[in-house]
Amino acid sequence: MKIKRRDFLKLGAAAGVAATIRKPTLNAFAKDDGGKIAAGELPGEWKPSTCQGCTTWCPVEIFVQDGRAVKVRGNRYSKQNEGNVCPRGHLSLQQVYDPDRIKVPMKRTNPKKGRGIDPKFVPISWDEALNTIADKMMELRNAGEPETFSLMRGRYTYMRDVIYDVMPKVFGSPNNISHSSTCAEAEKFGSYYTEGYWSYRDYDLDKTKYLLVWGCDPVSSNRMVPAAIKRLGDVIDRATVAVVDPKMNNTSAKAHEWLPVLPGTDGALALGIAHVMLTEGLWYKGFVGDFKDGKNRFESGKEVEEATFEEKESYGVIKWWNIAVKDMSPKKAAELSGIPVDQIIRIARGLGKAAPNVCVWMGPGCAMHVRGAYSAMAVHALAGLTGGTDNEGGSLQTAKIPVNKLNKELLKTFQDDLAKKHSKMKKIDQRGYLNLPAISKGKSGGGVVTNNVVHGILNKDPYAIKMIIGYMNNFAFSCNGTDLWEKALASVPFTVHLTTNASEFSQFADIVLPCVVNKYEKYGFVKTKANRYATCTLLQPVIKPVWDVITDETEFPFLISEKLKERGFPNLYDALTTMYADPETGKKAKNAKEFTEYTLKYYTAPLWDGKKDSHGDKINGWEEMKKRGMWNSDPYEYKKHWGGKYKTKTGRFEFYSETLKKALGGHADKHNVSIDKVLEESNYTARGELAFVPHYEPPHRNGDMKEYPFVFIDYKSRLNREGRSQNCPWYYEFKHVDPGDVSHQDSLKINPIDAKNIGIKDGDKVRISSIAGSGECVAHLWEGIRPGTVAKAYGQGHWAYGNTAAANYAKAEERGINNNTIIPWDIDRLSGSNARNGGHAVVKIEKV
Amino acid sequence: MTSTVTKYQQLADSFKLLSVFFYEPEMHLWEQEDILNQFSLLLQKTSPNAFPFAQQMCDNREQIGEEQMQVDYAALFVGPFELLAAPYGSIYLDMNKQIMGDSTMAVLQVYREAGLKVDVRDAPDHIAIELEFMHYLYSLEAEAVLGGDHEQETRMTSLRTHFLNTCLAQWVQPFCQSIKNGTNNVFYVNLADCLKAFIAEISEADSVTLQEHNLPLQENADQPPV
Repeated sequence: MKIKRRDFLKLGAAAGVAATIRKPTLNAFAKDDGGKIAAGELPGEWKPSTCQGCTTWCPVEIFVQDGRAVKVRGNRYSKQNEGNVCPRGHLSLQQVYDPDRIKVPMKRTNPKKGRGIDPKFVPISWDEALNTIADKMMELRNAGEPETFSLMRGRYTYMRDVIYDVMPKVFGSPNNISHSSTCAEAEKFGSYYTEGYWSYRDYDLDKTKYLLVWGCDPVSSNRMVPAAIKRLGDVIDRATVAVVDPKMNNTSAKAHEWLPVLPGTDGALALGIAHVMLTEGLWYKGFVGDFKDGKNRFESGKEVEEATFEEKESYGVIKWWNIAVKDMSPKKAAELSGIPVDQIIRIARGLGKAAPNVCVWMGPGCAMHVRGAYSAMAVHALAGLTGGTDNEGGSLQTAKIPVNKLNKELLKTFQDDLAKKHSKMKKIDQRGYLNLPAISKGKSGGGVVTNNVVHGILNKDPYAIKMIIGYMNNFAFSCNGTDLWEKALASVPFTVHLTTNASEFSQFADIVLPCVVNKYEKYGFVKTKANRYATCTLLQPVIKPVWDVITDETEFPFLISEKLKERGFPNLYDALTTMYADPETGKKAKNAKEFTEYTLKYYTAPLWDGKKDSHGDKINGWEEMKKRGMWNSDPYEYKKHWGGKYKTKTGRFEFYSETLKKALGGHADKHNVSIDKVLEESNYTARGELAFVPHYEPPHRNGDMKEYPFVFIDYKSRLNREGRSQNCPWYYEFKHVDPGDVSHQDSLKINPIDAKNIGIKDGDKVRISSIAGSGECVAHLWEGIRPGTVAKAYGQGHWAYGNTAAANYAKAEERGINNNTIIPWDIDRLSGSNARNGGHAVVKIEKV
Repeated sequence: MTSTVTKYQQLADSFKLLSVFFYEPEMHLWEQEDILNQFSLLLQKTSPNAFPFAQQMCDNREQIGEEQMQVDYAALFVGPFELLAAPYGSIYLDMNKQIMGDSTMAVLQVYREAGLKVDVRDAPDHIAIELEFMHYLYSLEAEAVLGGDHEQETRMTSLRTHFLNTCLAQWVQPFCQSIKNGTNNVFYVNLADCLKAFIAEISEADSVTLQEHNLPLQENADQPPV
């Protein structure tokens, strides 16, 4: 805080002078005439907003009393969470009232950058901060190199368009880098190259007869958490629940079947199940079709003539059988995956019996591998084989949310020649390079490769990055290979970090700017879905922030646009005020706060302006929208994409992916090489036709298992608000809600058999090491982890994030150890995903 | 009466200048207003135990550059990475080291009773704000004595004692210890000793019991890191 009234510094009459009346001088106070009500006696109010602690993105309500947020619940109108939240919802109260939040703009005074080097930050005014940033930006434009500017995005709302699209594009940079491939792009790859859907699926738990969860824990993560918590008990009573995961999780602890698969072999297991379903005639014929004469010709190891089979909604099942499935007998699948033959057969028969009301819930655990793209396809292919895709009781796509989109054509009119030319240059993540197909939605280089930015920066390929603005991201903690991120960020001359808490990323920043905690202090909106309902939910400021913080996605670009305009570059200001005029009055925003609300109105107007049927809740105007805080769609229609309406090349569910064949072919043609060469460069083993079908790829391990004998499993705590809840004391107090975890510990789960072999006892402090890094944590002996593997929840191991999260910031000592320090840098090159699953990290464990 | 008024006014000024030192160090302003010397002179009269530390603050100030003062101030009270000496009462008085705790709401209530509301962007129980509040109460008390308004004097005395007893004095000792643990900056080390001695002396005069340690058992937040 700065003294704001100079007269506060003046004293009264000097000592010894006769006493006279002296009015108190005030600096931090003003007179209050409404102060009769005692604290805690004000009635309080439930105010709507949105929780973004995980990617469920729950509509919530927050109870605010006397200006303070005190409780959280689900939004009463929500058909997604039906008024419920998970533990994360409550935990966020300790984020908004975290004393270690950034409170004022600050600048680095020590130019030397590195972990453990004190940046010596000092407070500065907003004006100084914004002027410095604008000056640096103008330097790049004046030098004719706006492409050396990069905008890095972490947690976002759909207001991201302003900071993530409009700002860099009008400025002239192609380097808007999202964090998306840190999350689950390989998972989307699985559903896209089978059913043409590049997104997360919804799951019809109310109607399912068989829930096959693969590589995730729906009651703790993966996008419909409160709905899954509410329904799991009923599903267990009504249906069969099987969970594939090397580590027992909350869902598998209650499930009928637990399949502790050997990490990275999910493709083999999925194909083994498919093999049984096909050889025993258990596939859902109403979706896949049947042999023309009704006689099952699927015999283990034998090819089938395509002409003998007539498919209905799918494409290429015989090709798939012949190329990848026929030889994956349950015996072979068992040998590869470590799941017993009888269990594989039992699962396959159960699925066949329950078909088509089968949910195959595919999570990142089976996808985010170095070679995970085909695992994801293989698992999702079971949704096709059972007819559970886009069907009652199965996995679903989404109902439409008719919000407005970014007006890209209008945006272009604000780009000058420099911006037009340079915003089309190659991106710093090298997407689309020969060894980085990142074929999102069928396009070579169509998806982000977040983790490869480090190589772009370090090698200055395609060019040097001279300025970064990051918002709500912490790539130096959240991406595997943290050592590389630290080196890369230290090499960038000027970095700005907009965030709530100074983190490992901020350690390398030149300016840090205090931002809103999204659930409590921010305007924004997100789109989400669950229980067949698509939802648009608003983030709204339900409390007045304690400190002078700004909204990252809208206020910051607006404020910067004003500064750029002062410096002779008005394009961004003109773009923002024109593109986001108030949709009701046509007025242009005069300040950053007005701009924020106009932007939110612009995007969400079709949900409340009454001009067209939104095919969902009827909302009468903006004020009602804000009061309700959300909109529900009508329920999703089953089988919406049956009848040849899948967005694949064939219009059908593809077991033989013509869509992938085209995409890989496009990438190969671009580089004038064969598809086999693309796969070789992408670290995949498939060659020839195998590249176009869901199949088994041998898991890639980074390290010699003679030296590093355990496979390391990373998973998400149900208390993780991404990597941001570790400065909340409740995180440690309640950590035992994660199966196998112990409160106040960073617990490394080891099977007692393994522990005995290496002389480790429960509670021993141990050092875990991989080829990438090492650190200390506490051994917890637990039968819920597959022998030969060890597991630890992602989240702990911060060396910078606040007093509670870090052991000793000054010495850069972590509290626990960050999984991403242990997991070596690697990626799935086909989807661009960070590789954090599949056990590519192998480790050794030593008693400390 | 005159001596009482003077004493209250001097105490009011002492609290005000103590408050100033917990804002960002703007040395040019301090120098223009001769803040440090004035503070030292005041404490000579109001708090003999705190006076030596105030003198040290004066004597040592010029040894430390302005930028170093800013860096050390930020590390102690602002961040951005962690607060070495969190300047908020609730950190010491409530469970779980959060701002805007129940103790903060109690502080707000006392402000309200005195007819004030916080007019800066920070938590209401920031040390600078609480010290300013003491300045306000002593000022009004002096005014009441001078004006012969016994009812107001009694009310202010009661409010001041209540605030000191239930809020400020309850956390200032562990706070000062955090400052001393968190920095080698002699100015802030002396400021911590000065504040601690000053509050102790005031409290003794008012028969207020000082809290030496954090009040609740913060067992959940203070587990040794692993």
